[in-house]
Amino acid sequence: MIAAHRARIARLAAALAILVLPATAQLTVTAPAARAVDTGKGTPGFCPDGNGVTVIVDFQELGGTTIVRCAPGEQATGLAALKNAGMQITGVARWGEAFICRVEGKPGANSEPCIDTPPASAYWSYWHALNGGSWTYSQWGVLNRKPPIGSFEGWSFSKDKTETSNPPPRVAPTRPTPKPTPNAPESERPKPEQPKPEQPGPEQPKPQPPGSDPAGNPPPAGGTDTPDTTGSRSVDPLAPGPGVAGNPMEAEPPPAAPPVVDPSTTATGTQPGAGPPAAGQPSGTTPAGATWTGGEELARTGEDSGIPITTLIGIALLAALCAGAAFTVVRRRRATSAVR
Amino acid sequence: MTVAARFAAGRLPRTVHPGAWWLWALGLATAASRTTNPLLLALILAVAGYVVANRRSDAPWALAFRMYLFLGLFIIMMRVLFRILFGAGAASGHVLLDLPELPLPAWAAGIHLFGPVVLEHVLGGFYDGLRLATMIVCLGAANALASPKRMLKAVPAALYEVGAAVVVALSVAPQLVESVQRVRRARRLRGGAQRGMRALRSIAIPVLQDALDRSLALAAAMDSRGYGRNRHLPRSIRLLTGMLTLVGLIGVCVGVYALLDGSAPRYLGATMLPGGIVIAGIGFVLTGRRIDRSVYLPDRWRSAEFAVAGCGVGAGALVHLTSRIDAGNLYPSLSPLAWPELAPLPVLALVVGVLPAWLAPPPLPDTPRFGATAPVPVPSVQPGPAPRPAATGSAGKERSVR
Amino acid sequence: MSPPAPSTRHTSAIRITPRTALVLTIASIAGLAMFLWPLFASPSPESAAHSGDAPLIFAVTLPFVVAVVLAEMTSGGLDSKALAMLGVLSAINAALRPLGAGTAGIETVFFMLVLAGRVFGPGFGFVLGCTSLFASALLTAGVGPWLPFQMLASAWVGLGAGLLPKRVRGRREIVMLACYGVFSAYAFGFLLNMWFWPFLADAPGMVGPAFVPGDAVLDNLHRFFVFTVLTSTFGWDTGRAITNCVAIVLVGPAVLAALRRAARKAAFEAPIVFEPVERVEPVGPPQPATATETETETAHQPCA
Repeated sequence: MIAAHRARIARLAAALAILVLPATAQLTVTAPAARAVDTGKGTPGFCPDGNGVTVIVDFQELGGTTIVRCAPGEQATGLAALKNAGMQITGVARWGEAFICRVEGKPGANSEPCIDTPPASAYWSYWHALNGGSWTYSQWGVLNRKPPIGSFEGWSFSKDKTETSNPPPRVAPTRPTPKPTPNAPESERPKPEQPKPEQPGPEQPKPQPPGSDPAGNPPPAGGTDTPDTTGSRSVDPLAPGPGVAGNPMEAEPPPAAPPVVDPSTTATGTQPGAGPPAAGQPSGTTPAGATWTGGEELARTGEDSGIPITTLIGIALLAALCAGAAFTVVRRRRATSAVR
Repeated sequence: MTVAARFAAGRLPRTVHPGAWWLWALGLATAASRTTNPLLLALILAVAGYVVANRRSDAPWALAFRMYLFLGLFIIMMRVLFRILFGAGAASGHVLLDLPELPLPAWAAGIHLFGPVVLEHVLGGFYDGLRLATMIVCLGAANALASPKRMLKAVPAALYEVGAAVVVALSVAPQLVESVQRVRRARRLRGGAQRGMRALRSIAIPVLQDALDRSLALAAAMDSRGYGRNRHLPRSIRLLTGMLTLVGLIGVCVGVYALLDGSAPRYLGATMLPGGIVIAGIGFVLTGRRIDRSVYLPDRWRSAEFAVAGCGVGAGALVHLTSRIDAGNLYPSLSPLAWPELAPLPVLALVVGVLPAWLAPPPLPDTPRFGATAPVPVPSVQPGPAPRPAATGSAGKERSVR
Repeated sequence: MSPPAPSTRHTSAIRITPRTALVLTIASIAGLAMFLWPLFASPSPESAAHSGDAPLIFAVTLPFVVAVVLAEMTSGGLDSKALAMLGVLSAINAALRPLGAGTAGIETVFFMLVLAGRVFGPGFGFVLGCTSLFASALLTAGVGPWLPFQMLASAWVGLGAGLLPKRVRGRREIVMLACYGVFSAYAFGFLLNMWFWPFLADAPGMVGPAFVPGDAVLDNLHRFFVFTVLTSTFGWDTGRAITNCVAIVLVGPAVLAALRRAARKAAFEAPIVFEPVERVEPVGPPQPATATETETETAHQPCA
């Protein structure tokens, strides 16, 4: 009786130890690789010509610089364009990727589990536009429409908006015409410590409603935020050219945008301002004042290190529990058949 | 009593109140509903199976757990099959099988069958099916652990008569089976037809008539024991309960409509449905006041019941907490495909959920099947062949018949 | 004067008062809405249908509605004979159900319910439907979220059987009951399939036989029928309908006779009358006039 009791206590202790182990192991495991732009797909910035679909992702209140990337070639659906531009997306568990729930990991799992369609108070709104046109709220789902080649696909996070006031992406859907002369990158090195007040507010025109770009300005996009060219954004070199890594830390939030964009931009940490400007990392600011980035600096860190250790621990736990249950069942069956 | 003596007394085999097991199972099911992590869901399944294996009684209903496992498997297979059948062009990713696409004609809603089978797509269906299957298996665990007879003891007063009818049904059902066996044996002795419609009719009708006559005898017995003495409720109370019931049900109707119609203001559904339920509930409780009954050996909730229920509720609450503060691991991503991982908080929830396997008192060693009597050791008159290893109840009856 | 013999033509073991009928109607409307919600759900993301909460909310609300209706129906007090009959017939139904070779939520054999509802009245049929499904679930450990829906659907079948025209007798009655059996089998199957349609069929991409909230009722119905055909539930419903029809035709007359005999013996609607007892003088053996015999007589007189 005492021996049986002791045996039972020993089993209990062993089981609890097995269960508690992963808790301690978790503390030593590195965090999983962050989801981010897949630089293997798509090219940063606007599409250079009409042979591709430009995808623009505007995080709005979620925080983070607008991402502009190009999905080259024909795209069968909006979903294909989004994926081929290198964006990391998560669908909903119920409908799969037919309904986009997370783009680049936002909104996080704490606020949106993505099991079923997100509510209308916080979801990714889907827009499309032709080159030089204006943003139109899409009447079709991401799988039900084929974006014409050369057009623009827009994704803008709509939070607490009504049906008629969903915000379109703040980057205008106009492809910059390529300028023949190369620009001198050195003169446009970003100054990371550029304080925000250097960009006086009044100098930035209010963000235009989509489509009403200052006409005539050939390159509405591209360019860098250099301190000495605060007022002359219109002659900024275009993108994608040998632009300089934009410094979104000095992002001048359009006055209409809530100020939360700015601190969260610095807080996201995805754009370390002092990244060495490499060729092919375009970004810039539209004349409307919206900063965008090609997303190269958001590239996914290397992973593919095999099965993570917590998964293995979980599988071991599962095996232990199943073995315990099977053992108990066999023992009981043997006991009852002995009685009979 | 000393602490040790109380603890030892708490370990005596007994059946736990069914409400405690149901609360535990509902807590686990709530935890399962908050995640699509297959590892976590499989662990919840294992936890449920472990507790059932350790704490189920030997009664026949307790063996139904494996049926629920099969049902869960069926649900998962259906979900995966649906994804394979209707996945045409849904997603891109790792292609497992490249099946040709089959468009159906327009009258079949223009569906496209098959198409390339994509791993992420199928996994999504698997995760979803596993979640539903886990919730159903948790309910199955409650079915296997909770004794239905004790559940009927806890029926509210307003449903007392209906509960009594169900108790009668549960007691009569095994007697019906024996009755059928008896009639079949008598027919065999008389040399009647064994198969076909005539056999069915000549077995079923006598059984039915016998059962109906027995029911009238039962009614007479109940009447002679004073069943059915209601407390007299004044007319005003009866009117009040009627009004409350009607108003409550109308509230429920309006609440259901508001819930389904998105254009109705949200507060309408959120207030009318619970409000209607509460009002109708008050009417329900008042209706029960006409019953004046006393309960023999009422089922009390002791510390073991609270422990079991608390473990289930705790497990559900912990997973809910995880979904609020650090939900990343609860929903492993499918694009890009990532291995499901475990976080410490859900594991703690699992530990809490498996504790009833030790906290609940062990089950009774060999509960007699309800309705049947315990085997009566009647010495057989002729040294006939050893009785078949049938159920103990019917074997005992057969021996006494011979 | 003995009380008048109760008529066996229209027994009603559980009476339905106007108040009960009103409660029953409202509860049936609510229950029907909880069954058919996929057809009428709105597409807007705020509605519960879109967030997937509707099935869970209804799974919690419907048992409560069923409980309220049952309490109301028995609020006038359930006769002990009705209760015993209810119990025994529920046991028969519950024992018949596993013979239907079905798994939880799929199959049941109804013919007994239809016949009992026909003989004992609509109120009894309703309560019998609830109790037989509940007893069957307890016996086979099949208590789950599907149970309240099954209970309500079979209660409707019993209620409908009791509401059929009462003056039909003989072979026409059997034919009528067989037709009702077929119809109720398909109706029950339709309701239960509608219940688990959103659970089982959610093919992504908003294509396929998944229901699309907000689509026209006919479109969703179209998808639903494709779903039933694909999953061959239609086949199971047809099997159930055929079983009902065959059973009613073959054993219907005998079962109806047995039930009516029991109803006559039970005399549900016999009014309870308290009559004054007529005093009857105890008749003893003839009394001779001798004293000794009277002594022995008094000694042997049995206690009065």
